Amino acid sequence: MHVQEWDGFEGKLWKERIDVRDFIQSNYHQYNWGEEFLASPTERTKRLWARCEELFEMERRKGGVLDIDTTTVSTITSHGPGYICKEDELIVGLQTDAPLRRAIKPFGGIRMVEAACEAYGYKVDPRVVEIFTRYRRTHNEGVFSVYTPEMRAARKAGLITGLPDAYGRGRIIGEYARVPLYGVDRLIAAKEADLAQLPPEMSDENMRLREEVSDQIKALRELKEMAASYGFDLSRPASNAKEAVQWLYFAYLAAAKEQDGAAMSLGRIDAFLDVYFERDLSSGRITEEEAQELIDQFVIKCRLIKYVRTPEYNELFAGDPTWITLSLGGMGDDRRSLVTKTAFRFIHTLKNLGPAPEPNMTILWSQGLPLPFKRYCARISIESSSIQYENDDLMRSCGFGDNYAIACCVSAMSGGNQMQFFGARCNLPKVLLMSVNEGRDEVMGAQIGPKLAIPEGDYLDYEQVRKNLDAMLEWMAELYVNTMNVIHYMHDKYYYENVQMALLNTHLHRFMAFGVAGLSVIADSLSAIKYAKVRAIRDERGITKDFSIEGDFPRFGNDDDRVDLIAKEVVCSFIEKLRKHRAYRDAEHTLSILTITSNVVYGKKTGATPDGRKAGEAFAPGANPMHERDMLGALAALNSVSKLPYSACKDGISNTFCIVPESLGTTWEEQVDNAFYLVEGYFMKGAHHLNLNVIRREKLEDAMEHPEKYPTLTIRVSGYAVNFVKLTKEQQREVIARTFHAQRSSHKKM
Amino acid sequence: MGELSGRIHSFESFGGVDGKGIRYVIFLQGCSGGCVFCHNADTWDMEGGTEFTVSEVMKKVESCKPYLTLSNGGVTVSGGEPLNQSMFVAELFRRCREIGINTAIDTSAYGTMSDIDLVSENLDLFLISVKHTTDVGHRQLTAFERRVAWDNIRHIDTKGIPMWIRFVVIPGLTDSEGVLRGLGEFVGSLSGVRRVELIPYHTLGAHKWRELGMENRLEGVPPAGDEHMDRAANIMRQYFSNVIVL
Repeated sequence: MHVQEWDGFEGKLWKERIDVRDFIQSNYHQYNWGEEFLASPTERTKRLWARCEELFEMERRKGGVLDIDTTTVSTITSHGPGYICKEDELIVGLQTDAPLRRAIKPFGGIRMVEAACEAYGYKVDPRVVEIFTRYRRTHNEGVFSVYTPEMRAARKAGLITGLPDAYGRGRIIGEYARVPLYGVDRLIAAKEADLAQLPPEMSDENMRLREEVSDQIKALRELKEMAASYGFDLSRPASNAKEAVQWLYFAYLAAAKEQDGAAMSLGRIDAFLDVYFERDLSSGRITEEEAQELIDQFVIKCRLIKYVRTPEYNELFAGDPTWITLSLGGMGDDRRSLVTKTAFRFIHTLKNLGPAPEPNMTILWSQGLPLPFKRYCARISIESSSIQYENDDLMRSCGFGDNYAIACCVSAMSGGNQMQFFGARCNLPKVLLMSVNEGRDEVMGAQIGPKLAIPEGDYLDYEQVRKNLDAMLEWMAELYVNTMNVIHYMHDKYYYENVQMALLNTHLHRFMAFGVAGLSVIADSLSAIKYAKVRAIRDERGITKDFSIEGDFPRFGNDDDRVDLIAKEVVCSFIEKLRKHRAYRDAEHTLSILTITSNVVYGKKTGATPDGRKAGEAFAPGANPMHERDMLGALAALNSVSKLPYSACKDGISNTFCIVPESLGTTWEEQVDNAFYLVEGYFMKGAHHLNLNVIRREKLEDAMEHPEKYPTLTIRVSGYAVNFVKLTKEQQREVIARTFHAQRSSHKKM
Repeated sequence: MGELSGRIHSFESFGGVDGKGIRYVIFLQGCSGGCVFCHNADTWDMEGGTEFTVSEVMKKVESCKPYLTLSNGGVTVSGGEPLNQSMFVAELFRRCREIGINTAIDTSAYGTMSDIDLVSENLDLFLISVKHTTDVGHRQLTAFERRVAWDNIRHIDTKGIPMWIRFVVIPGLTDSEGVLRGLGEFVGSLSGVRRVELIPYHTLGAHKWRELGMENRLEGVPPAGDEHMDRAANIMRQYFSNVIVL
């Protein structure tokens, strides 16, 4: 069969079956040179972006939300077409009928929607409330009808927090490139064929899958309908670069209309789109300026994606993030670099449109990537603090292949055939405190875990504490897996991701992604107990309220094996314990060391710890050493984190790094070089992820005082970037309290 | 006999401004230079700091080796005045060379010529802080004689080891045309200088003097602004092309 839209494309396999990777590998062009070719924004783009900036300013002045449609339940086809200013829009499509007008998604939970609307002065249409309380069960209600008292208690105490039990779980990356490459009709046909192939036995799993695939097909039809309302026919493949971008965006938009997952990531589309750009550029159908215009306008659309969130949600995930994570670069299995001109074009939007947190620019960094690209990234990092880096060599060697993408911050998934059940995180310092408090929560005093004996003796004995901790982690792991099983069973049942799943293979590998918070706190605490003398000070309930520490002890972040290996042991032991319990749909257990901005809230809910951290004090984010405890400078801190094994933490190890520009080097050239070598060296040591912030503390302090002066000041916090001025004061203070690596030289040392 | 050890004030595993590439910087304890503009007066005490053996230091350095070699960086020994512990420094540099790590020393060249000879054996770069160009000015700013340092610098120049000259521009004290031309002529008379770094005097270290209970003799001297630095750089560039303002 001849498909006209594919004229000029090479390859065979991808034409016979749905296989985006094979299409990319058969057709993309490596680009091994520098950024000289990049074009500035067109007048049209500038006008459009100026209008968006006005809208953002109006939104900011209205307290963070410009408008909410409180009557229409968001679905793929719920809203008619919306535009920003039609004559300047090259790529069209909004979540509702107007820009920054947010939509409600009560399938995850109606109470959450009501609370979020109320927080911004809106009231949900009573009919919607009635439907979702009386007639239609939500994911949230489903979960809570099954939660055990133990699960509720653990959740309430903040032992496991941030669970997706009241809104979309997110972290699923539809392979959106399927829509431009194949057109929707072909995708429907493929899903219909899958349905026909499912085994005839009507077991629970088979029936569930049959229902899901039917829903996927329905969603694909709705995707066509939504695009048709904008005047586009998605039944056929895209025939040129502009259509490819538009088709792909519609596919993503359908997902963003249907779901409000915490992270709605975009995947890996740079080399894919580049094939279309190259075809049009070489035939003279578009110019470089027009190619850049398409990318700029696509990125503008990404920056406009918004969800209705409660203030409590913003405490965990500050700054209204959507994690439209865009994975760029990386190497192919055949050792060709996957860097194309389009990777440059995406990064260039940070220049053309100014820095911004979304899309979440993620460089898949490999030793083998072309030098000019890596230097370009380092330069833009210094200028914008808007890029994160992930170790492509490491992820490829751990079985993710060369077509994986990052969801959210640090979660790798192979494109089209893997998904994950997102599971937030467990508060490790709290588990430690419970193991010296007979299983009681140190704040509320409630009995939550098993009643283990209080370690004997005046000073905490390391062996006894470790033994208790081991037992407590064992209990925690079982409870955590069971809680996750409940959540994801209900999410599949009541808030299934129809369109995203329609753009993945019917038969998938599933991960269940667990997480931990406060790793450096628990490591330092155990180190204090082992190497110093720690005495527990107990209140009238017999629960620890503080600890006195005599003597010194090694702290995580100083490249000292005595404590770094404790951190390693803790994560390895926790993942092993998690694996003992079967995960829903036989998912593979993974673990992340990532906190987003929840390190502040976690700290707030946690009593004093044996490392000297006071009650309520914030944890360090992700896998970071505790603030200002890393005394030997940046590399020693990085070395400690790089000892954490990725094989035990396959859902990612996040490290957020702040350095003062002058410390990077004396001249601009030296700063760029050293930033580049910093990332390169870190990954050579086997580390996984680095958020690179090149910024002065004084600038952040000034931005706290005068937010109006810094509307676009972007900073990477923990696997994502935020507008600094959108953080709460408390979060801003925590960011400022982090270690800023400022080199002490003989003349500059302060 | 036990292994050679040195008195160390602190470590900075990521140094971007003390030599080429990424540097592992070791701040040695002890200095009798007595510079009035010193921002590290806490490194003066010869008895302070913590003792580390060469092997202990090398272990720290080696764990950063990928960064150092990739970036064409290496180890920089600073201080304090490293020449006071020349045996330790020489041994440290020998061990660095053994594993292919580049070496640099940050010094005011205040030591004996044999100290200089010792540290030079396995050395790739001298970072030399020149304090003043006249004897009177030098005495005002430091506790040692200009000629000691300058004789040593000329001695270093015969070794063929590259040098970067550093000079702190202090308004009213080291920024006169005469002083700067003196520096230019001195640099011009040397063959090994690859770079001149002009460092603006700042007052951010003033609190350290107070904390140490020592008199800050530059109390009231303003920091060097951009105009000071531009003027100084323009004068220097008449003598030497590669002048960098920090």
